[in-house]
Amino acid sequence: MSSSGRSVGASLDLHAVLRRDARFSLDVRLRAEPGVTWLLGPSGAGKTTLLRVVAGLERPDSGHLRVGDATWFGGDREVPVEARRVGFVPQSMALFPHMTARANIAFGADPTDPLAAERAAHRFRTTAFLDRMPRTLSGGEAQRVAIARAVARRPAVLLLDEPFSALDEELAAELAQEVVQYTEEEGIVTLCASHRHGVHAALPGARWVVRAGTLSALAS
Amino acid sequence: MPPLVLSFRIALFATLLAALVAIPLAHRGARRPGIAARIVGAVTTVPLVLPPTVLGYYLLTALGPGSTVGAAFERIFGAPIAFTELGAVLAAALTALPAVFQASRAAFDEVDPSVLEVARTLGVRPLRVFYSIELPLARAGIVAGVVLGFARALGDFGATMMIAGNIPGRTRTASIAIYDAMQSGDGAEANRLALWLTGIGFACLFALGSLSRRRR
Repeated sequence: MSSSGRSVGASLDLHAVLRRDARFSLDVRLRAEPGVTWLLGPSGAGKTTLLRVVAGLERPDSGHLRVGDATWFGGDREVPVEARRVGFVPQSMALFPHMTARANIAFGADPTDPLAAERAAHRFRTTAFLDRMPRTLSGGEAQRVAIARAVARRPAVLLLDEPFSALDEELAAELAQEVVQYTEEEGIVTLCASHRHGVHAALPGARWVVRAGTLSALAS
Repeated sequence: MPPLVLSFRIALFATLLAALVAIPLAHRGARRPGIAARIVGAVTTVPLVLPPTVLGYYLLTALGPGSTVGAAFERIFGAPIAFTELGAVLAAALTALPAVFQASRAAFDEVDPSVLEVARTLGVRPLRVFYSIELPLARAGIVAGVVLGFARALGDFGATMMIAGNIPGRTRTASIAIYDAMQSGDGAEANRLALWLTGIGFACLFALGSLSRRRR
């Protein structure tokens, strides 16, 4: 396994300090064990920034990020975005608009596993609309494709930014359940930012609240 | 070679050259905006605001027989740049450059940055992101710039005349032939060529309009 590779059962240890401007700064310490960690809190509190720091899309001013034995950030070391085994689903989903759902899922699929894309497509039940273009998909279908695309990479850490925000209660609960199941079966860390507490209140996982750029554990 | 055919050939090579220079520069400018990108943007667009004779003058000064580059080129390839078809291609490329650059830059600017970020998190190499994501998403804008650049290159007069002269069959393009025909009192020939150039220009703009309609 490479230092930035996939490590099943690995925990995530993050300390990130980031001062962007006078209005926004982030100072978080988070230890996440395999399973889903729910990040709650209002919009603009720093949930998205935290996920982006883990993905490598934002560089903290100081701190460290370790996944299992591998250091992704800290000291002199910084593993580039491309080499971190993350599956990232932004709030906008950011599907490639000129590709079918199938091509979206296959685009970054693990090259060492020829069945990774197909499994991901099945796992998140996208097979009925694989040949459709993103603009023709409903919110729920598009979200499933975005998550399938992220997991086809077989990530060590799955990062979901408000994946249920555009879905109705029933669809959101169903998808949240599937995310939990997938995470547990794969033994990976999933960080899921979600302000819709009701959708996943009954599901297992640690709960943290992000407020004004700081993080505090929420008693279950 | 008849002036119209020559014009067409020169404009084709010139547009290709302009695209090869402008598209990578536009892409870099869109991804790394800053002072360097602004300078590149101004330099590639300045032919739009300069009189074509000034462009031709610069080309002649930089690449003419008396210049270091021009002399070195002639030593290596056994032929000069000035007063050849190559000179005409360079002049036309310079006039096509602003349209290709500006349209491509706008097209790359419009690509959703979160799509590119996701592509990076998928571990895909930058070159593949460029070919598979950025280029297809910016394609319509780039094509529009290339078509406009081609139309502009096809009609160049001043810059071509300065660097390439007016050699029948070799550098006498349709625009120059119109001037010649008027000078020699051949109104019918001038009229024929002018109508052709107008028709081609109209066809380019019509194609552009159809393209943008299809995009919507």
